[in-house]
Amino acid sequence: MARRIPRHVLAVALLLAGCAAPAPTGRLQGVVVEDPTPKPSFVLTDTAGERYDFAARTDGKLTLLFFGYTSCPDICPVQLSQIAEVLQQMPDVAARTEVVFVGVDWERDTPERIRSYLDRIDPRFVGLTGTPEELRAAQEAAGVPPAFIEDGTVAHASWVIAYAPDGLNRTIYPFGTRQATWRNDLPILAAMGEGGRR
Amino acid sequence: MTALRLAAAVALALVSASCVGRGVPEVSSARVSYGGGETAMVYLVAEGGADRLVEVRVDGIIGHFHETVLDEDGRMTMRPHAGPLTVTPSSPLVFEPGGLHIMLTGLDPGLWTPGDRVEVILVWEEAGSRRLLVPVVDPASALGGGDG
Repeated sequence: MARRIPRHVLAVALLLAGCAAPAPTGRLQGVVVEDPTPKPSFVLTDTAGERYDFAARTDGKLTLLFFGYTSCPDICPVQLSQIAEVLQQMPDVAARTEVVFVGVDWERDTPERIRSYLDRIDPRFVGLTGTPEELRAAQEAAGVPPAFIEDGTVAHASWVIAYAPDGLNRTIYPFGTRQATWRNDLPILAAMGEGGRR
Repeated sequence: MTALRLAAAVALALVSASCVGRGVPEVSSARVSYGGGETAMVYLVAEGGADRLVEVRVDGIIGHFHETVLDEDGRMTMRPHAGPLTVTPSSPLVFEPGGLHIMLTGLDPGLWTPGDRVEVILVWEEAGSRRLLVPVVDPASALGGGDG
């Protein structure tokens, strides 16, 4: 199981993310993982109803993994829409990137509902779902605290996990990350493992 | 005794003056974040007056006051906001992504598109209803500040 992100790191990251957008530096501006962990292995169901082997299907690509839910009105649409908008601005990077959204609301996030949700954001995004046990195993493998549902409300990890093409988790992006950070980081991440690691 | 009464009267006057009915709060950064589905969010800042926000309506839909909170393991969750929503001269009322927000539910998918302007009615306890025309933005721009 991958390491979890310590809460104090997240708290600082959230504060930083809320500040003004940083200027491009040529260096990663997301929360850099000092000891990068390998991409997790898990199998879920995609929006076509097919089994999706996460590690195999995203091999060699910049992969952005996010655990959310389709009726999430605040966190999820902001995170996903920002990525979609930035990728639209850099088609060369988009062609080498897979954005994978895992719907953790097993009571409501059917494959059809996830597809409809993602199509409003970016039809290229991959949507996955599974049984409660499969979803929990996937979250634990990715090192995030498993989501839970209480009184119809879903509590879930709010950060995006970035795996470079070399298969390592180089950075995470807490809620509040600005488009400027995505614009800065995605080309750097996409080049990792293609022309040597940075 | 007279001095005590005078002090109490002054204190009461100060409290009253600082809390209620000291002008309508000014609203800035108001926007409706909408991704085309069944829910939308209203974000804004109200400051510079003293009043209590009672209700928010958008195109006749009553908004729900919620807040997003971080739990000890780093999960974010949303819950109804409890307690009064008060603006004082020293404390603005901030509705923002990832924090306190106004949620609209039960919308018809595709109801608005980014760039539309919708009528938002803020109902204040003292000042009554105030109408605003507020832009609809894509969630990619919900954070405000000109860069998502």
